[in-house]
Amino acid sequence: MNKYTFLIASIILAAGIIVGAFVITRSSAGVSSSGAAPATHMEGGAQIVEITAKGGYYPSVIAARAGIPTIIRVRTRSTFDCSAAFTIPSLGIRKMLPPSGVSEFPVPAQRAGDELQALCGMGMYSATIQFR
Amino acid sequence: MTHNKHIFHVQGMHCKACGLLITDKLSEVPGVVSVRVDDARNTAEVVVETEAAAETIARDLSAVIEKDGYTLTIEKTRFVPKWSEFRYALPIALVFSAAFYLLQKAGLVNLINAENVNFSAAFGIGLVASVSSCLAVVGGLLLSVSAQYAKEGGKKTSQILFHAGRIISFFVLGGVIGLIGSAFTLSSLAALILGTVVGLIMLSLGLNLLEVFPWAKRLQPHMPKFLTRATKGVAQFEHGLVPLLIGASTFFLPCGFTQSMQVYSLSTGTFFGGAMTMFAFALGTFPVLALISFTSVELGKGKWSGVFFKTAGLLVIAFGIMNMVNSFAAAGIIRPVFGF
Repeated sequence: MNKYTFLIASIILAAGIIVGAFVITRSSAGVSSSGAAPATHMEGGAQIVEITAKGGYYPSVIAARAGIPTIIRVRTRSTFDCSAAFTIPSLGIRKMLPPSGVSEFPVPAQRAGDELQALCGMGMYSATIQFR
Repeated sequence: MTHNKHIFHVQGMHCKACGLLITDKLSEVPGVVSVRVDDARNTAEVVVETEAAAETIARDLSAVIEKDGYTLTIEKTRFVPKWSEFRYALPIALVFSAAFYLLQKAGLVNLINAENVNFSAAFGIGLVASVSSCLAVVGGLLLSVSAQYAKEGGKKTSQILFHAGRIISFFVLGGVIGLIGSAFTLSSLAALILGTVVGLIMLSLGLNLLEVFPWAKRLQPHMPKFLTRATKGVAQFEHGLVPLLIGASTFFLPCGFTQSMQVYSLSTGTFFGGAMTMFAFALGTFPVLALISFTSVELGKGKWSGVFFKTAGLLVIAFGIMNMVNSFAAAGIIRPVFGF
């Protein structure tokens, strides 16, 4: 087979691997982009947004209510990866979470349509909180 | 005895301090009166006592500096990029990128379940860290630096010095953190600057590795000239100091795992506790990093070196861009782009 066939075949193979991995992991995670997980519950007048930080933030998209004070509760379980470097740039929140435990971040009431982006220190993992 | 002056072109000059080494070595050759190397034009002006032809002198003097990767030629050789090597480099780079993406999606981090971080736990975390997203930063930087060293004809000792520098610095600095009870926490701005600088270094090294743009050589990070002049008599020592320092500096690279382990070291409260934690972690990262540096040096010689450098260049550029974009996302400047 000549060099161009090799090149084209390799590109198709690599593209196939990437697309395949994407499709497989998307379907196993079971989270579509339109479905945002609801914020968990209320506690004494504030809504609690629960996020688990380990190899990423889960759930990665959360729907919360606008207009009420919010507490973001981040849980770590033997988390030593980048998720432990928790940051919400728009609020100036930057904290190294303990490897195992719960950290709480009070957030003022947000307006409808606002979004809060939580990221790991390296920018690879993110969680979006959509306020409605 | 007449003095004859010859001007030769030097092949293999890639760093500003290289001229010092050439001058030192050639000056020691009997019959050589003086040597002057022009870093900008890559020429060496040699005054000799012999009446021999220029070709003979060039050949004899080249033999002296051949081991360091330099040769003297009469004519300036023209540079032509070998585009055909991309036929292999591009698909190989794509496959490695896909493999990296798959590795992140595999969620190896879920294997870590350590309440108490003892030596073996720290080592295991290091193992996982070395194939995680940190691979793009530390591994990518190491790939660019060792491929560059291989390209310059670097010695095997350079990579030993890099790894030694890294492991020793993790031990010492881990101990310091444990002792003084506070870690090196970077402000948001400092993290952004660091991430951008690392990304730019990787971009410049990556572009140079492609061996397509001769002007890219000027973008390479260099040791400042005043430092190299101070070590003029020990030019070879300077070559050795750099990999050691680079290895030690990886302690400060933006990597979530390193930072978590630093926080844990802090909590141990003792020098030995912190030192052993970071030391075990660094040992855990060693196999993958050793694989990267060893393969780079081996592939950097031989007939596949051209393809290897282009593949490495493509990967390093891709990782460099990814790291910079992610740094901007982490600082809140742009929305996250590359997520896992």
